[in-house]
Amino acid sequence: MSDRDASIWDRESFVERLRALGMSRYHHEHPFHRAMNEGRLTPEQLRGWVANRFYYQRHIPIKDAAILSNCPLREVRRIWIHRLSDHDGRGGEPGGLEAWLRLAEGVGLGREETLAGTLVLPGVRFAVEAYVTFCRTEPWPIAVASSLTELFAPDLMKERLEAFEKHYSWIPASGLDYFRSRVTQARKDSSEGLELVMAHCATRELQERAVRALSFKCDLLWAMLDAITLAYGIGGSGSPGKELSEVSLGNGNVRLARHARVKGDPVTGKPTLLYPEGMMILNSTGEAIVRLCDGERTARDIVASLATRYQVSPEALERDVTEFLGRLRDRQLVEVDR
Amino acid sequence: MMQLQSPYRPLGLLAELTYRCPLGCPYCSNPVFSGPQGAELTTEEWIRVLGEGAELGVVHALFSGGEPVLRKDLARLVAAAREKDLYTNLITSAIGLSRAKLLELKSAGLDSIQISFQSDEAAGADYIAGIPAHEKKLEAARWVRDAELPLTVNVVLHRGNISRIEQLVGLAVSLGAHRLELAHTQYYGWALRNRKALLPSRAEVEEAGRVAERAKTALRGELEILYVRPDYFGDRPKPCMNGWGRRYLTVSPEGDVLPCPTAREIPSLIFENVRRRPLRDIWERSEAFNRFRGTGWMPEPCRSCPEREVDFGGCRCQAAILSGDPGRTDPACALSPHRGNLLDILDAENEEADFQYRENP
Repeated sequence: MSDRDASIWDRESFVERLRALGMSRYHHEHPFHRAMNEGRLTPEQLRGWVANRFYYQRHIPIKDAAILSNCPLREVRRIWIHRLSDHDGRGGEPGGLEAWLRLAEGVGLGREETLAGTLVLPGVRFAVEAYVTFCRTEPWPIAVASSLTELFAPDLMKERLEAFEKHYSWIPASGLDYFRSRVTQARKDSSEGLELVMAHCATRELQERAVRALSFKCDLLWAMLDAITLAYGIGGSGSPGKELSEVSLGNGNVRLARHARVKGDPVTGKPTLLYPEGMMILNSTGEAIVRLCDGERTARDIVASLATRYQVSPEALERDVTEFLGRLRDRQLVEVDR
Repeated sequence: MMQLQSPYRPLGLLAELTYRCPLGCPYCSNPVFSGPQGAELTTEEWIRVLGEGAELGVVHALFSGGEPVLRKDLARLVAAAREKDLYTNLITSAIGLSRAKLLELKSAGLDSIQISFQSDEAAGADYIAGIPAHEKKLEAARWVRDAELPLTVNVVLHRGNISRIEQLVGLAVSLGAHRLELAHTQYYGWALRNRKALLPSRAEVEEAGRVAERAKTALRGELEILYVRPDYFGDRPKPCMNGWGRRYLTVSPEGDVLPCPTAREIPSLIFENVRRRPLRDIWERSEAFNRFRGTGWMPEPCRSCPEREVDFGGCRCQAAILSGDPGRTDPACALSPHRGNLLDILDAENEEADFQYRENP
């Protein structure tokens, strides 16, 4: 691909090539990020993202240390080294990873769970490890070029911060410190990185490799979100702003929560559903639905079973069943597998 | 199937096992005592009361206090309630709970647990509790999650924490709670004594309501948020206890049976005791349970009000406190002739004041 005879790009056209690439390929346009910034993610989807993104975050100082170890130039190392303590902290400064853990706690993930990485997806693990390997094995100016996605990060952080404050107000403000600090930090880091790439990718070949490194990095970030989207989905019936709550037919198996009990009322004989500090009197359809929430059936299976029992078409029952299950799920009385 | 002719049928029995409590929250709903109290019911007496409750149609046993885990026989009482096929709920500060005790309660059949939190951060929470309690509560909540019991987080709202709804929601989410009850302080007992220090401003109440509504929608299916607008700041009264002597009964530590936990605010009521009379008798025939049942006792404007069976005329204790007569319309209703008394309080009591901690009896 590279044209060895071609002349070196001047600074302006080199920068322009990097920018154009990022503008079109950076993950700010990924459907998962768009949904996040529009407030369409469920708490579980946000948690999935935080847990997986943390795996990426914790490897940043490792890849930066790899870049340092490959770089023979003292003046470059002096510029680069603050990235380690930015994330790991230093002295009394807790650092970016700690801020990220606070976000994890803020969205309801356990600190130990986050650190143990139990929720990390294979695709994310693969992408992150590929990134570290890349930075370990490529010449240091090329590895630095892969970090230039930072050029586009400040805008994304700013947008994300506003979106979180607006749409996910249940997350404590202290959980958002990382984004807050990254708006200015990423701006400073990216101009640092850009200057190093300009100065040390001094042949056309290195320039083209730098562009390809940025392209690799954009793909890697995009692929992480693909994996997260596949595992957690986007939006859903529990998503904010949706007035009518229902469990959709296509969702997973439905199971009555352990703490909900069906019992015949001792006074009226009517079936009732008992749960913490409350109860619900069930009609016969309600009872039949609840008894079918055995973890072996989806909402669609429940509809089919009732349709057979009552000799009616499934379409006639669908709405009642999905709405009723939605109400039960809102009160934590049924669990729906993913 | 049991026979019950009365339209009044208790669904929940609030068993206040003891008034003793290690915390000193200044809004405690326990009575402000003076003088010595009777002895607490024995294990056997409580077991009999739970059985009599089940016979009456009770389906929920709510173990509360004071601090119910101070009773060494709590697991036995939970087991007894489960034997009567009651759904068992523990309402606790979690102080005095250990992991072992929790597991003992679970194997006795405990169905659910509610832990009170005073705030989302230790300093503010411990200031209200009067002892360092917050960290212990966090730990206990994690045991609850590990034991796979459904957790309700309860927070009483007042001037000191009302601006922290978002953080309180965050706390409940991070603890893996199923439900979050954001309950405004009800001004009876200790809270009434400390009203000047606890009452939030109207603006704070409105903002809290907005934040709670937003969180409720955002967390639908994830965390059930119960936020009830405080009656002091509304136009209509709360349907207190879902009607007097209609759905709930409270048994005090020494066996008095009350239509609601704060009914002692009404000095003219005399309460019967389970040591002397069967629970069914007290529920169906005692003067205290019958005085404000139905709509026959109502004065105007309640009597002709289309909402008389929606809010049941509001809270009898509050009518007594704010108007001097428990048989009047609750001044939390904008139609009450004594509404002015409430509005005066809202104007006068929104200022800096110290509170007094609750004291044990």
